[in-house]
Amino acid sequence: MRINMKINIKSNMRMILQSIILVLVLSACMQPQKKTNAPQDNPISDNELTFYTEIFTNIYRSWKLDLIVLSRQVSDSQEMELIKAFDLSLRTKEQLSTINIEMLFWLFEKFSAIQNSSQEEYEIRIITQEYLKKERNL
Amino acid sequence: MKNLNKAIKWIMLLNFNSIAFATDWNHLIDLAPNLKKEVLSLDKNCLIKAEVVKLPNGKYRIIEFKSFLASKKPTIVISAKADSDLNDLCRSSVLLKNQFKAQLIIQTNPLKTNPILNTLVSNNNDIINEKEISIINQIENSIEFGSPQISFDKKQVGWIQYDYDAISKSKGRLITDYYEEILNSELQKSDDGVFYYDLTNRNALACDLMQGRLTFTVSRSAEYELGLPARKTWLDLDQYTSVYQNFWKLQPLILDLKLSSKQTEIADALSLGLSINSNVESDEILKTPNRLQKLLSSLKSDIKNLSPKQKAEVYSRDLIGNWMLNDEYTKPAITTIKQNLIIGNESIFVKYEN
Repeated sequence: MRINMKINIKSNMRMILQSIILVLVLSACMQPQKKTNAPQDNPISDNELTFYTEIFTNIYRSWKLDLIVLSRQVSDSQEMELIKAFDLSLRTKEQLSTINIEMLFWLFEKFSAIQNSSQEEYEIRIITQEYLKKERNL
Repeated sequence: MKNLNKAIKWIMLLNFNSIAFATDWNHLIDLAPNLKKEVLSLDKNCLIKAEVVKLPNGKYRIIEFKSFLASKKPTIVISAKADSDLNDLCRSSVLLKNQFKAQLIIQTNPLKTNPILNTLVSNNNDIINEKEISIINQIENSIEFGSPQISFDKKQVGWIQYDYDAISKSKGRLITDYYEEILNSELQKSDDGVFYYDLTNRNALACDLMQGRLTFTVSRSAEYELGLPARKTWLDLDQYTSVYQNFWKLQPLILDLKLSSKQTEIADALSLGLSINSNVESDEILKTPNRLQKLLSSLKSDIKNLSPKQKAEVYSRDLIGNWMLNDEYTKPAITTIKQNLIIGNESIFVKYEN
């Protein structure tokens, strides 16, 4: 009787252990699938986004400061548009040496469209995110 | 004092503009890039020529005199038969004291003696334009002519070695220096336009002049306000070439974006920023408001119908015209220029009169 009980306990323990292993194996199988899905939804890490947002904020702010000074010297609106574009190009090149003309044109349009300075930080973050996505063809 | 008064009178007479006016240099700086240089003839024989620019108000500004030649050669009129042998005549005069009458005649002011046009003839690319307005009223920059000067070029001693009076008065100097001094001294006393000098008592000089041993140049200075503002460049040709090549490397990419013309202008300005190398001071471009626009239009200004690829590899020598479109004008530090004008340096014409 005592021996039978011992055998039962042993077999139960094995079953429990087997179940645990099964669960672990199953969960282990499930886990990588979850991990491979995640980057496709959000491939830009927060750190990366913060890093680039800081760069874009620097570009935007130095550009805006330049424009305050330059707008005092230029009265012609068409001339001012060219100066705005040229200056943004210089400011961007200082911080992002690899930017291409297509992305620069896109950035110019986005930066020019920022109207509300109180929303500036938020808008630049969105622009940065879009920029990184466009750059990585996502 | 008398000479000084005469000189002042000359200056007054020859001053094109009787009314002094202050030049608006800022206005000229604005006009300068679009002003085309041309050569004007101020007399019927085209002996007085000046490079000028025509202003929108119809007036001209002189850039430089190209020629200021008298219509007649310096002449010595001698009382001798037309077939007289000059050598015999001179020998007889200088060695045997059989003086002949001689008079030196020199035109000293082509503006007075040349047949001057009442109309202005513009000779630019073989197109002749005639204007029905007098020259004097057409030249804007004031010009002051100095008094005429005679200076010997060829100083070969021939008959003058027997001019003992001149030798003693030259006091150890070159005898030609002495002649130069007396001729100039008499010239200052004479009326402006034509100088007459009696050589009856200076037959040795007359002979060496007539026989070409001595030759001289007649000149006078002209001091006038600069026709155009000073031209300067802010970007050297090598820098411009590198920007040009980089800019045209990006042009095909801009074309691919299929932008509107206004957007293309923006994209060009952006690509210019990308095209600037570290050897170009980018701040320089924004120093003057229209520098950027001028630089962009010079980069886009077509040269020899080259493809973008060829433009991206173009040589500096092919870009000089485009590069010069970026030149700027400023008020010159010194606003007047002095030019020495040659009125005549030809051999003497001998005229025989019985």
